Amino acid sequence: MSATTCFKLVLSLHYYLDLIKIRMVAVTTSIPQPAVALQAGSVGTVARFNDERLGSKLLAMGVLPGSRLEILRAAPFGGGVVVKIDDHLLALRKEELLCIILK
Amino acid sequence: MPARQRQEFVFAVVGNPNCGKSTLFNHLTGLRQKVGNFPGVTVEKKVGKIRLDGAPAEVLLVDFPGTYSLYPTSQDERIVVQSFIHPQDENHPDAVIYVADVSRLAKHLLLFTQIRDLGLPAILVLNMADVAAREGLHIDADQLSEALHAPVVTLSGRTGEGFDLLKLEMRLLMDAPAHPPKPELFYTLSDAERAVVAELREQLPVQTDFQAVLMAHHAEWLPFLTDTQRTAIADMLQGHSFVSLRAQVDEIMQRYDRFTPIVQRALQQQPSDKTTDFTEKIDRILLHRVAGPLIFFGLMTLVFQAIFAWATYPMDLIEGFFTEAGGWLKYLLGTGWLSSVLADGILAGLGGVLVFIPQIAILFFLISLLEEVGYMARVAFLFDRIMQTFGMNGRSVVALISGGACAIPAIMSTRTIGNWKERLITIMVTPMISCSARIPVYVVLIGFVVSAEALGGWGQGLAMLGLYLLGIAGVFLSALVFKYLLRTREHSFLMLELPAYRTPVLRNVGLTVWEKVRAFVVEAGKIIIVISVILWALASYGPGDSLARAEADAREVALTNQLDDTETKDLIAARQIEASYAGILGRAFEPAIAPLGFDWKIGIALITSFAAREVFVGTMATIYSVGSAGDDELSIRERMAKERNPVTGKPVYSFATALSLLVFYVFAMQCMSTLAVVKRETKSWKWPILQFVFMSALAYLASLLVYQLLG
Repeated sequence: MSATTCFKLVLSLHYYLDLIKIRMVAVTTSIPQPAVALQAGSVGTVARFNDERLGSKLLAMGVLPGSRLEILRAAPFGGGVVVKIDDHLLALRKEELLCIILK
Repeated sequence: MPARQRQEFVFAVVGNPNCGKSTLFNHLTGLRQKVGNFPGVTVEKKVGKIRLDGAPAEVLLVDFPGTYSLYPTSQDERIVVQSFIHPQDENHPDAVIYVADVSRLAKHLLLFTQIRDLGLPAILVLNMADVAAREGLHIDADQLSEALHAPVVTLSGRTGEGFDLLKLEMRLLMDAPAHPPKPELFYTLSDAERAVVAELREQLPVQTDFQAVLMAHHAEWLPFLTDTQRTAIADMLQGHSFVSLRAQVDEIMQRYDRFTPIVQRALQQQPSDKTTDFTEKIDRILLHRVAGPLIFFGLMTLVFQAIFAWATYPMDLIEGFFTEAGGWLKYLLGTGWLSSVLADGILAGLGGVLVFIPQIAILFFLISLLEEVGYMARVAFLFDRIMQTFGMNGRSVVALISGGACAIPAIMSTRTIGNWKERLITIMVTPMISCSARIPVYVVLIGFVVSAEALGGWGQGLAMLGLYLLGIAGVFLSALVFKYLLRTREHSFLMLELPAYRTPVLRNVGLTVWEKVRAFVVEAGKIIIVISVILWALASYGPGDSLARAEADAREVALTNQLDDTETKDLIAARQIEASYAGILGRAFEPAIAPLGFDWKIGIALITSFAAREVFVGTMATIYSVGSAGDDELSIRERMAKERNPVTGKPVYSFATALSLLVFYVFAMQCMSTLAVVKRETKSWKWPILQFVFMSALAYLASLLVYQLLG
């Protein structure tokens, strides 16, 4: 096998792995859990979404598989939460958080 | 459709929310901007002219709503898609100025790659260069430009640095060939997408693949497609098993995969955590479970205190000016119908509009200041849960607060709410928040309910607060009713970016205030002036010679009672309005409102108030003919206090009547301008009519209850 074929193979493998990730098949080493199970202050890594409608919007807002997710605080009156995604802040409702599955 | 023919070159200003887009737009256009609406919807459209040296055509800048991708979830964001993918669209730009925040470049490029794939020439603006440099963030613009196949400009919207370079790039772009070589797409189409694109190309004029892809995704709502085209596309998608949501996720992921390495190569240092640290510290207080809401209500109290306290002086000045001007005009033109219609009709109406400018200006100054700092997004977050209980969205809080000044801009601000049901409920209930137009009515009437000395001088203030709270209670109760009546299958989102706290750009605040004041004067002013003239006609004319007879009667009475000149004039005016068409209308109305404790004179004021509430005071002034003493609220109140019921001899404005009238004004839909805005926002007469009926019914029943229990 020549070096170029090998390189191409690795590239396409990488590409298909990504596709699989998106296709909502968990490619994880640990047991996946929804982000909503996290306590304020704890950190996780985004793996995938279990709802495509919310997932598509979250993706567009910069929540990506591999993003660092930290729960900062809950809203008063039992509302949503503030999460830190990489280096910016998002306000999410509970059900919006529920669709994020962590590694 | 015919191709557009114009001598203008249109740049669209686009970017993600919070990228500093409006700061850039305001810097480029200043006061040379106009605010209108995108056709068919009431999404605000800002257009500004700019001067470019040697430009062959007039250069226009159109500010588009902030959006994250070309997969919209609100009406705001849809505008971007529909104007960008349809070359015949009235707002289709010739080129795009894409604004991205340097420190957030890794996220902000998503929409840029989509726009680039549509085939639109674009300049990438890296904004907030000053902040980035302070944080030790450096970016290689040339490398980025080469990788993205687009000119890249680094600038700072705050300091004004880099704008010359942007203008130069704009100028170069205008001279560039119409069909530049097409760079590769930022993602690879799937088999299903490729099949759909091929089929769409046969049926519709399509320039680029991505344009066809977006047509497939959004066929359901794109306004330029016909119903036949819509069904054809739907069948096509099914035939190729094209799943829109799945395709969206795939596409977005691929885009990130392609541009993330580009950004990493161009960034010479990774962004630091400094700004978020600072923001998180402040959020610890402002978003605290207990302190957060308390601080919010504290701030709102301050805002309202400011509106009341600061606005008094300019309002007195404006009122004084119009009283003087009216007198001067009458002196100049003498007596006659022309001087009367000018002074009592148009000038009085104009004064009634302009007097609200200080309050509106102060409210929007403070609200846009809070918005600029980044606080308003936090407010939406704090109250989202509560608002959801009542069928609304956290974003509704902003509309409800603005409703305290005027329902018109408040209702216009609901367009950021993506969910139709939540937006509609917010629109329907917002006019029940006591707006500034109710203040003069409250001021005149409150004295009949609570004396100035009550509760150590605090009584009237507390009563005022009570009226506001009554309105707020009405808002939430009727929101609940609507929540259970309205059905929807649409999704509701919060998903809100909380921007880092920043010092406000005063130019932005100033321009917002200027815009809102101008919109109020022009929009509401037109209607109020027309109504004022109609009112003047109704009050100045009567059937046959009834007015002349009323005057003769009055003169006789004045002679026998030896009244002086002023008193005679007042008596004539009072007798004449009784005999006029307005008086006749009021009397016809009386049986319906008698159970509420109102007489025919109040009836006239109610009729005229359906145009606008603030007309109440003016109408009272005319009916009780204190016109000669000016539009002073106190003199009207003194005159009203003397008013006796001709049958019983008791004061007309008893405790029960005054309270009943106050409650009526809290709930009643008495603003034609608001109804017009609701019609425009909901695109149907159904909702404003329903709003009018339910608010009037609520007002009637509440007043009936008050008067029957206390009267």
